[in-house]
Amino acid sequence: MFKYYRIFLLALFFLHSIQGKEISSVSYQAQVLPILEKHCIQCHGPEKQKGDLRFDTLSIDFLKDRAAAETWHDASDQIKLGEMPPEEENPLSEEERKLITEWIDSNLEKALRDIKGEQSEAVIRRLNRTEYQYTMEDLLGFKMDYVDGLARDPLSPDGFLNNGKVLGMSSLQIEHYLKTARNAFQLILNEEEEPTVKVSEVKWNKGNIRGPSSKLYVGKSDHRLGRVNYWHGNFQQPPKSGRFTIRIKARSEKNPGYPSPILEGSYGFFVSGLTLNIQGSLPEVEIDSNETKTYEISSYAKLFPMTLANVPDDKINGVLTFRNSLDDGNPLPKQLEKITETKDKKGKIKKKKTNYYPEDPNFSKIIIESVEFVANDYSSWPSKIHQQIILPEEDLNNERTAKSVISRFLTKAWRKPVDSETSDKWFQHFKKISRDENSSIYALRETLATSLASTNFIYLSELKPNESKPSKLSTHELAARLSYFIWSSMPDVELRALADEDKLHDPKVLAAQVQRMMNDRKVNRFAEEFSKQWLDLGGVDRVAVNPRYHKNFDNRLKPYMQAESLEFFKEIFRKDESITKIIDADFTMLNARLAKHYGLEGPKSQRFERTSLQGTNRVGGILGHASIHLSGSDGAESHPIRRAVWVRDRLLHDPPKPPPPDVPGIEESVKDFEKLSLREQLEFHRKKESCNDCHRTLDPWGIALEEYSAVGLKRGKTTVHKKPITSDTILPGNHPVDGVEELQNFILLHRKDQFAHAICSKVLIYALGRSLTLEDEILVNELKNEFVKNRFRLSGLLKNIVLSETFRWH
Amino acid sequence: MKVLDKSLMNRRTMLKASGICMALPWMESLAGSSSSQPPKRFCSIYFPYGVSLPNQDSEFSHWNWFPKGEGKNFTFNKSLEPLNKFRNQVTVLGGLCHPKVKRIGGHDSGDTFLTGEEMSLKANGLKNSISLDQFMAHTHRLGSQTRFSSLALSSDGGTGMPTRANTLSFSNTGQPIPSFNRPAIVFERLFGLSGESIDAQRKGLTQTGSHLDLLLDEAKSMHRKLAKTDQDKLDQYLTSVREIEQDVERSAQWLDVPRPKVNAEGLSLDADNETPEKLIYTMLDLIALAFQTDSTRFITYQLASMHGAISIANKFPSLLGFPKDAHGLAHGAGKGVGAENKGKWDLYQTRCFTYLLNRLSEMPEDNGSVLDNTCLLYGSSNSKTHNNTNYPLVLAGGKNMGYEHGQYLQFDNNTPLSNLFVTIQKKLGSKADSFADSNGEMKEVLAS
Repeated sequence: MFKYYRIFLLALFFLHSIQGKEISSVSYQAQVLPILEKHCIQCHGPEKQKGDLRFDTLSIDFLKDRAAAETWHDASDQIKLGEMPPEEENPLSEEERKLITEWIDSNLEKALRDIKGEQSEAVIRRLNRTEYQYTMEDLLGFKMDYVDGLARDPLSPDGFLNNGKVLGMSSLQIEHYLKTARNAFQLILNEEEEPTVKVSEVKWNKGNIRGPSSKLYVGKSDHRLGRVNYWHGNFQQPPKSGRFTIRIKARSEKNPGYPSPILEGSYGFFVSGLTLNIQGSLPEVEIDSNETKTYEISSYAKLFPMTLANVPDDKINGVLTFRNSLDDGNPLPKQLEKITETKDKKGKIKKKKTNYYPEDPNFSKIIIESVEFVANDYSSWPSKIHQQIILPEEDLNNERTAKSVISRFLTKAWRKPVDSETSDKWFQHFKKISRDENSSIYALRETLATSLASTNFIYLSELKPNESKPSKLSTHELAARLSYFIWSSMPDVELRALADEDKLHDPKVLAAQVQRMMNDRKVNRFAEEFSKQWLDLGGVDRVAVNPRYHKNFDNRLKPYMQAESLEFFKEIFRKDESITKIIDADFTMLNARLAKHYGLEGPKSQRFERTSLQGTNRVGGILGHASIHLSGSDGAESHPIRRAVWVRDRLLHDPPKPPPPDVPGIEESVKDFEKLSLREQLEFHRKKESCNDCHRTLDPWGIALEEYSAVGLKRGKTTVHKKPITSDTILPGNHPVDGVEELQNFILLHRKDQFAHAICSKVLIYALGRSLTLEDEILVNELKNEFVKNRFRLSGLLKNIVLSETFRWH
Repeated sequence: MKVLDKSLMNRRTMLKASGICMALPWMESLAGSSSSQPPKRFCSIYFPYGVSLPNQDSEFSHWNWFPKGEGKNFTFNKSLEPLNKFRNQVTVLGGLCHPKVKRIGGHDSGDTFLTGEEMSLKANGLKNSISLDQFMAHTHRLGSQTRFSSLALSSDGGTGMPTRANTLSFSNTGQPIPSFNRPAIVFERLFGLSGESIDAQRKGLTQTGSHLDLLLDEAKSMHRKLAKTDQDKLDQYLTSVREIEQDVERSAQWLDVPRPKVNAEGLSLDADNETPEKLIYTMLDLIALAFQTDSTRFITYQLASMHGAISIANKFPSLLGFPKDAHGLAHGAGKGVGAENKGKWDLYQTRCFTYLLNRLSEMPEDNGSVLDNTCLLYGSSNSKTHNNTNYPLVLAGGKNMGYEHGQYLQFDNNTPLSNLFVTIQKKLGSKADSFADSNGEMKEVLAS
């Protein structure tokens, strides 16, 4: 990555202690330069430029030369963390250290205060995939997959998905917005005539499932669903549109103390004469009672595959399949053979071999008694979601009414007041289509769909009256910034009302809103989105586990590994526990399968539950999670550098510099290099001076995690070369550690403040949707001090960020 | 034929056979000229992290990607061996690079493979310039005669991030053009039937056209109120809407021309990142079909980007049973058995490319094959990992455009690859004399 992309933001421990002081009394010429000459210039001067740095020519004008200011900042941090000068060189005396860091820090602070407000980093940003999905759901009150086919969003240099600079726009995206909104409105805004309800019995079919989906099912078609077997049925003339409900009469058969079985269904069609079932999945239902009950699943026909081919309706059959998706982590039973004897007509005994799966008496089962399919099942007509857009008493054919329907929708969708000129323009558009096509409901669908491809909807726009001067966000802009931060979606009714009343900048009102929002379920979206991006949990998907070295690895574990870390963060966040538990905790979040993988006693289903680690051999905290071990591997062997980069970047917010272009490969100069373990290779690496500059302070962070294999299990030997594990290493500043527990202790003892600073930076980056600049350092340090005082509670951090001027102004 | 309906040859044969006299658009453009010429096409396929380059005296020297010998007298080493079948349809190029891109990070050069310019830092981030395919398809309107002007494909999809783009194609403003990575979506786009009548589709397009006016209007009024950097950001939106406008116009023109009937049976349209072999071969099938049906004439396909940390395609080798992921193989390639491991992966990729050549060569067109009317550029922007010089490159096909193949040409490292781009664009029919940092043409690849 390009160097100018990086912003060096390490812990600044000093700003508060010296606030208000005048610029340093330390003289560069008389005091600082001699120290540089004595300790630094040798490696960072005319002869050598280790790390691409030289101090003899580095500008000391912090105000004019920002790049130099950032380099000085970095230098100060490294000196304070004891990383520079390196161990083998003469250390700075206490006085020298003080002089040089005070000179850097005070000049820096002066410069920061002088330039504050001069530059604005924020740019308008478009909704990313997740925000678009949630906004559409919340706005329309209708759940469907709004992002199917929409390209993945780009990651920012800091690893986040909501960075305005990086999020681009293309014609394919706008086409997607338009098409998706059109599809949604076709389902939401109903025609005038109410369709008739039609109930069909779904007949159980004892035949096997055919076609590609059969792979997903084990066993035979049955009414009794355990670890294996499925229920398979069909009915005639599946609807091509409209809302439907599937009614299932079923009961569970579960023993006390065992989890409820989970019914997983899929719905679609098959064409008589062909062998292909084409289906989409339905939402899961927990069958929670041993008494027979009716369970209902509703959805829309258009959300499921439907044949486009020219097949007569009577040849198309609806098809439903169900199975029990309860996962207690145990393997499927092995198929057995039994021989049954039957007598034929002549009384001759015939032996017949049949295959069967033995039943596990403790595994909770589902017994399906009957299934009904109800087409055109609306609890009211027009549907409720229709009535949220067009109120029951409103008549679209009345122009004034139509106009107010449109203007009401635009105001809500665009998250701001819409002036009458604009809403009139959209009304005229509606009127024209309505006239041309002679359908007001069609015209409304088209008009509203278009408004959801408009810049006003797609971009979080913050209009700035004066480019160079900071100004307050409008209350509606603030409401939007706030709700996208905490809910990944648009403001709700209450936030909109407060914005309308212009009350949102009042700190008391704002603080109360943050509190209210954090009590809402939608706050889970923050927990999920932030933790996924901060901890880079997507890394798990980018590594394929190599079956040669990890025999029988079950790929179902990969999403569970991600879920462990995500649920772990969510648990800490929702219970408002100290975020230092990310580093070390006495619990983790597990489900049955992952617990089995770790060799632990745990939950009995696929649901994640808080599980104590006391008395087990697993360490708590994120460094004990398989997600991190697997992302930091090549699928076969652990990859200490990847792990080290992750720790430095994600936990300490101190990413190492990328390797320079054209670095010579170490492997070319060492005999039999490829036969060495990665760790041994790294040792050679560090012996080479050009590599050592960077790897000296990098590798140890990953080596300490060597006791974990690629798939997150403890091991005594390396996976590929079967050599004994060594996880003892020396962290920068000459701190020896051996293994993950000592690494955790080291961070909590020596780097707790840096960790706090890192969290504050990461949350702020996410909240603002942009990278931080040196100017933000003042705020980050204030946030950090409060955060530490507040015993590392995220709730307080979120509130302080929202209340800060940086968040409320631009 | 593996995937085509038996009854179906190429589109023009099909039309001829059914006795329908329908002028194809590229024929229209030649109205007045007495002989119709076949279409001219361009396709670029990119792979990351360079190739295995063990020393000629090492025990693994046969895994060196570049051939032995030079000129017409060369022999392929192992990695390019599958190309032997097409020896007279390919030219291997050595020594070339984009000189301006030498100084950027080793893993940063992928975005510039077809653009040739060093990216510049603007207020809104790193900015690239137009890629060769877009320059020909759009700027020089060579893509205007088909249903789709161009098509960008990749294994990861979308745009990715600057220096780690998931696409080879960049617009005239340097914006990455999102690539498709799901075969089912590509198929649907190229050959799908909407199920609606032509009138209904036309109505839909007219409607969309009027919506776009409104969207432009709305965007412009927001544009006026924004700060400068934000205006730049919104320009992307305005440009995109205008592009859709053109697409809508184009789609309307194409409504009456039936979509080519292509049978999806045999195509693994459900292939995804977990089944790389299926995915890559299906994409190659789709490229061949898109060319054969003359649905588009410009296609780029990025097999993977150079970002272990972002590219899902990085794990393809591991999924296929290679000892490491793509990045890992490249890093171990310097010496010993690592050169062989990487070499085997190079060979795997060559097989994929050869498969495409084979498909194209089996598709008859006029007196030759689709391959004879398609210029393909296969290669990487690294020689070995971290090194932005001496790109491994294969130029293939396009015999009817005047290429002379069956050669291994070596250049000195100051020859800009863009010189080749100038020759390619001229042979495809553009009049431009330069591209990016070019300082001439590359006549060596042409028949004298």
